[in-house]
Amino acid sequence: NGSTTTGIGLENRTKILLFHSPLYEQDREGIEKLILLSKEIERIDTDRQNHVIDNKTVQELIIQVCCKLDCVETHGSEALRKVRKSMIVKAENVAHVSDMSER
Amino acid sequence: MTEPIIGIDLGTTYSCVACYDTKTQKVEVIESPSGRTMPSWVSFTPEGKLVGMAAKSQVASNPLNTVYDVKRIIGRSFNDPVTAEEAKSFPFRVVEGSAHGEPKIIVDWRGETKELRPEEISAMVLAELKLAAERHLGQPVKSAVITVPAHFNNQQRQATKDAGRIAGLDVKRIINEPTAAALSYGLHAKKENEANGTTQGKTNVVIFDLGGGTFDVSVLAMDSGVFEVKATGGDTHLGGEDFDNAIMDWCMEHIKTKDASVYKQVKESARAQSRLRRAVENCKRVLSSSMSAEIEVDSLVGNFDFVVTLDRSKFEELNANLFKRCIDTVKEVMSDAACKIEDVSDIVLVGGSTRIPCLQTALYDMFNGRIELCKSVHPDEAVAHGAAVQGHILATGGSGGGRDLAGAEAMTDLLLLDVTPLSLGIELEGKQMSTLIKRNTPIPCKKTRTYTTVDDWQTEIDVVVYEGERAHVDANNKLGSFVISGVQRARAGEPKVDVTFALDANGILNVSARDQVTNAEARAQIKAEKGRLTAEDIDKMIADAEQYRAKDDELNEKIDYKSALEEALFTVQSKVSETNKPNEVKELADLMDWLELDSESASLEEMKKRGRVIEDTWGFIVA
Repeated sequence: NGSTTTGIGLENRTKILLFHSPLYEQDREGIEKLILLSKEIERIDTDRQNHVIDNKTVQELIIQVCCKLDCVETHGSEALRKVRKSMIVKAENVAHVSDMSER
Repeated sequence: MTEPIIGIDLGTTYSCVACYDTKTQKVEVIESPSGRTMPSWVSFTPEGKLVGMAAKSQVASNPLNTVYDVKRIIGRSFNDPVTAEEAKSFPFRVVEGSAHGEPKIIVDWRGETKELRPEEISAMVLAELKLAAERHLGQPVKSAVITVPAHFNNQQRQATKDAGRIAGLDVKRIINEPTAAALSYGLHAKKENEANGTTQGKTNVVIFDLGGGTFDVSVLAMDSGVFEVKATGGDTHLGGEDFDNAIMDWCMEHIKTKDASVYKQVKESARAQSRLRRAVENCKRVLSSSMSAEIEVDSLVGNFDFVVTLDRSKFEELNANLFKRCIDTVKEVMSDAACKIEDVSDIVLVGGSTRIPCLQTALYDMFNGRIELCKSVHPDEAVAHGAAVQGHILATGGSGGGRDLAGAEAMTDLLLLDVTPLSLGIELEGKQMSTLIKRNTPIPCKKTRTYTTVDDWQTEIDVVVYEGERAHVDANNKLGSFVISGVQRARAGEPKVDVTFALDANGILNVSARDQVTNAEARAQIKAEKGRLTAEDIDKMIADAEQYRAKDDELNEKIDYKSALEEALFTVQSKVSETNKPNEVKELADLMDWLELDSESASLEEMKKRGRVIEDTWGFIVA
């Protein structure tokens, strides 16, 4: 309704709002890769809990995920690097828990 | 439309397929679902089988049923020390097959335990590449040219050919990898073009192939479009990984000086090691195009972030020994081929590790900066590319071809000459080796020699085939044997049996024997029943042969003298039976006994002593 958009300051629908901060575009590719890898880590953890895979397999798969995480380029972005680090910690936790339950 | 003949590089770790594209008139590498190169991996699951990248990426969850590196054991017997050594490091099970002692790989496939031969695994890799080619070309593919290392022996070539057949491919030719690499650069065509313009005689090409785990150097001679492998050498355990190891050690030293406890943790953690290795490998790649590269692994262990910069000169310093080894090998192979620096017209680089600038510079300098290195074809694809060039030449009878094959038009009869690495022959009486095909004879080749019987009324002859350089068959490698029956019934030395060795272009040996009178015939294709020789064994045998040549010459002389002695004694025998002089009968009996019982271990001198007795007593000259 025309009166409402004018009311909030949008004229002729020329103004749009940024959904993400300007830095997001720069990191987007990396973030998307990390999200996918995060899901992979969760999947390994679920398989582990359901005893679909044994500890040895968990360890190997976590190594693979960690290597993939290392491959995600940060292009010097500290924010992205932080997220990547947290993912490594998340992956290592899965491996650690699996090791513990094996013992 | 001619039927395509695809070119396949069936590698130890990776394979690649290429084909001549009639539309673009160029050789194209065909992409499979695994990419332009496909891991030579096959994995078996309860649902079915996976080939290539799909197999490799699920190895962690299915290590016992994921098979790789079968090229290391293909065509070898189970008892071959190489098979035993390789089997130790394979996570999958390798057992001895019941029939011919060949190795078999045990896997669980679709809920059943299966025994598969290495050829069958290779066939699965080949079938996947065939399928990719068919999809790409939009037509069925029936024929292929497959490459093998130059040092592959008969059995290994035969097994590779068998793998092709199992995959539903008519293997038109098995060619050597270095030869294929030379073809990929159209060196055969270049030669023709040059011949048309300037006068250039026979030239030599050096193929430098440094892959992920193996290193091969070959010298090929080119003459009027004909290639001949003159010498090969290398190291079955030298490659990209060794360069990584040197950087790894350097990184570990770095960590050690920084923090000893972190060093201990990294050393003990398989995960940290793998992550570091990946980063190191990446750094090595970057260093081929940059002067320095960063190795960065966050949270390598705990909160420890590993960041270090490696520059190219340091990398070269770390690997100086390995680079030197590579260059020294080139020198050795050139010397084996009796080829001088100025005789070489081209150097072809194959394998990912040849991108290392320092190696390229060293090679360039070795040839006094006279030759530009051939490196424009992707080093991982050059071999498949060359196999496809060969395939196209075969498919079109050499008359077709596009711009990049312009030279090929002029050489309808392009021959690819490979050589047999060891002499081939049969066993004679007295365990002597009778060579039919000499070492380094260009193949294909065929040779017939005529043999006869040793005993009177003998109607069967054992034909025992050997390879090797020694005069005594026991020191050579037995390849197989067969019996020819129905030989003409006659006195010793009268029947004539032609034995023919035919070594085809794929290096596969067919042996046949035929009696000239009765036409009785027997033939055999050499089967992989016995443990075959490794490249090292071949080298050793050749070296031994040089060393023992003097001994062998003496043995030959002894054997020749012994048969002369036998002949003389038989003649004497008939003479003595006529005269019947008691002292002569006694002397003869002694000599006959000595010949039968003691002559085997006697020296040449002792034999000559007996010869002199015959000469003195009956006046026969033994020679």
